Amino acid sequence: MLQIGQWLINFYESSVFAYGAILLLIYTMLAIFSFISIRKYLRRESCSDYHDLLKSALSPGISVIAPAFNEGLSIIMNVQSLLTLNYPIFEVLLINDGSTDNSMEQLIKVFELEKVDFAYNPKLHAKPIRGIYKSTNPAFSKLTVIDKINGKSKADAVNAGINVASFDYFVCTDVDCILEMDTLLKLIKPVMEESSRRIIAVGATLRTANSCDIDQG
Amino acid sequence: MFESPYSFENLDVGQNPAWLNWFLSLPLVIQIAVVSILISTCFILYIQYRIWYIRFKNYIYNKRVKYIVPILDDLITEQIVLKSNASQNQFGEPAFNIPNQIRAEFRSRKYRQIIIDRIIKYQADFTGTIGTEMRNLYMELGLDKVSFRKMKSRKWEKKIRGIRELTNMDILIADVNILPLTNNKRQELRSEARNAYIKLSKNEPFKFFDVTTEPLLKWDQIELFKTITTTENIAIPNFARWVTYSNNKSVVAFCMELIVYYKQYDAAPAVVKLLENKDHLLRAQAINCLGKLKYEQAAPQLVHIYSNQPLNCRLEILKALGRMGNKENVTFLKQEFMYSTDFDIRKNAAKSIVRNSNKQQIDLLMESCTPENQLILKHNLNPLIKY
Amino acid sequence: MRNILVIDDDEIIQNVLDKVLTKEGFHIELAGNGKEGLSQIEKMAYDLVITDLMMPYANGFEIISRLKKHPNTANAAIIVISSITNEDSIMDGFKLGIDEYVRKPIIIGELVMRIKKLLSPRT
Repeated sequence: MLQIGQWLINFYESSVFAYGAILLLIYTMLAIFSFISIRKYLRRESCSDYHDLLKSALSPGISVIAPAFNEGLSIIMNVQSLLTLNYPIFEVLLINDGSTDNSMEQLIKVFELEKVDFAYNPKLHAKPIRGIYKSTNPAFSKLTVIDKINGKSKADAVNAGINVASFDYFVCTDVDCILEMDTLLKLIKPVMEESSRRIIAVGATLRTANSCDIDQG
Repeated sequence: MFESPYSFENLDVGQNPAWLNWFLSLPLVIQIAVVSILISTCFILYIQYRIWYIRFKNYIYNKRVKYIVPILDDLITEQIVLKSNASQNQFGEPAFNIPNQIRAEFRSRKYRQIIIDRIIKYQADFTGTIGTEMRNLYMELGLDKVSFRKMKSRKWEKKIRGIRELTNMDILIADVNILPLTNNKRQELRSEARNAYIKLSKNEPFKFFDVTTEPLLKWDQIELFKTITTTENIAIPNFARWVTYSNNKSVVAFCMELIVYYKQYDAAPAVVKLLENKDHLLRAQAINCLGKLKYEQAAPQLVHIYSNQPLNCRLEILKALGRMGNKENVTFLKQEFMYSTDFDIRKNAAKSIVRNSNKQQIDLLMESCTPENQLILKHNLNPLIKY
Repeated sequence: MRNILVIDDDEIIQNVLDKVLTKEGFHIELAGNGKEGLSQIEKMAYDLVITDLMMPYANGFEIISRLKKHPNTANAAIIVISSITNEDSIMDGFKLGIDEYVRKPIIIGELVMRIKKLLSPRT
């Protein structure tokens, strides 16, 4: 009886040890692999030039989809920031997801918006759209504002944006995210570099910038 | 369960130093643990060292940039910018009056990369006299030799940088040096070498279109397109040749883009032949190309093949008919607009109708269609909406 | 003396335009981005504004539309210098009332000629 008890304790101890050891080993391996691939990536990066995309007429168009819900305080600045992206052909689709504050009024006033008859194909399911607005000022011709009924989720808003998007590629962001100027150039490059496989999505690192001063946003 | 390692007991422990004896007397598990702790500590220290090292390098680099760039900028403004503007007709030797001390600094290992990068930035912003003079300055400082040495380096990324510097500065690279690299097994190096070859080769820049078998990546196409369209004095061949004879689909597709860019109308018959191609993507692009060339002769054939095409080709046909601006096609477009069930087809048909009709015709059409189609028409009539 | 405002985040272009145009006898003010540019126009009136399209803080089109509304620059000629070759962007620019669209790389002699022509008194 005692022997069995001893054996059980031993077994427990060793399994805990083995678990810990294996976990550590896996972490180490992951660290080493990521180290190697980062080195490879940096090596490739050191000799690539994104700015060719700017000058080439073949660059594909990108739709930037940005849902917003009650962001009246920062919405104007953030839309202006989205419009400064460094890319030849893109559009910014701002989705006002049924905001209850004055964001819509602010947008209409600042960007000189006007309701337009916009025909779109509801491929994806989303809550109905109340109206689509474009700017009468050519300075903001890249901007489209979609006013829709709140769908209680970001996915619903993004779906509405995808229905309206006019380009083959789209970037999902959020109005309160600040994108670096060259983001689109960097995101589209891996998509263009693949021949055998089709890349359908690329990710990006986010950095939190709460209460930081954002320069050149 | 974990007993001490008996296997070590037989060793003659007397010869070992005291710490090793102590280590060997530990249980195996602890031994492993001690070793791994040591390894990971070393690793962490190494990483910390790397971080400091990189920061230090950046600091030194920024300091060097701050020191040398203003000197170079002053030299350039004084001797190139202000001079070339005043005396444009001097065909004399490019005589730069650079003090020997500065010249030595520009060439030194510390600063030369910074100088090269800066000169290339100037070259990217300015062409004409300033561009030529920048090239002369680059040669005068002997920086082309630095770039050539880079091209000979064993590391592929260094090679790429060397080639890029030389192509940016328009320095001739001998075919013997560049041609082997166009078949290198590294894809990045290969495309850079091709790019350089197209820009710098004087006799047959597009030769590799004949031989390349693997697909041209979209990214390569973007870079090549930029190089071809921005290089001055490049001999543009008739791209119909590759559209007809090349077996490489991506080369054919790329040549069609170039045909559109250079408006090579006489290549249109070759493109028309592609309408019978089995690959629908290529067919769609051929239709797009014909539309952009406004090659009206192809319109009847496009209408004829329309009914047995997949959706993407149909959309391209509708767009192409709109671009060709032929009034006879409007009947066909109207029919598609009124009776098709697919949204995208109706939208594109409407767009092409709007492009080719006057206001009365559209008003007439507006009265006779469903509310949804009216919306589509209004969408296309609105000048604020581009797509 | 004619006043020219150069808005560009590329210091090379800033520097070269400054030197060349000063030599041609113009008064030059420089701004590194749209925000700086818009604060510059509060101070004095300009006869010509040279601007880039892609800069931090505010996009070029927005700057142009603001310049057109501001009393100090409403009558100024506007030249855009950009590496963008996209047709839509160029058309947007002209809709906003720019006078010239110059693509990078620039031929400096040509640019100076265009500026002189724009600033010569119209008959």
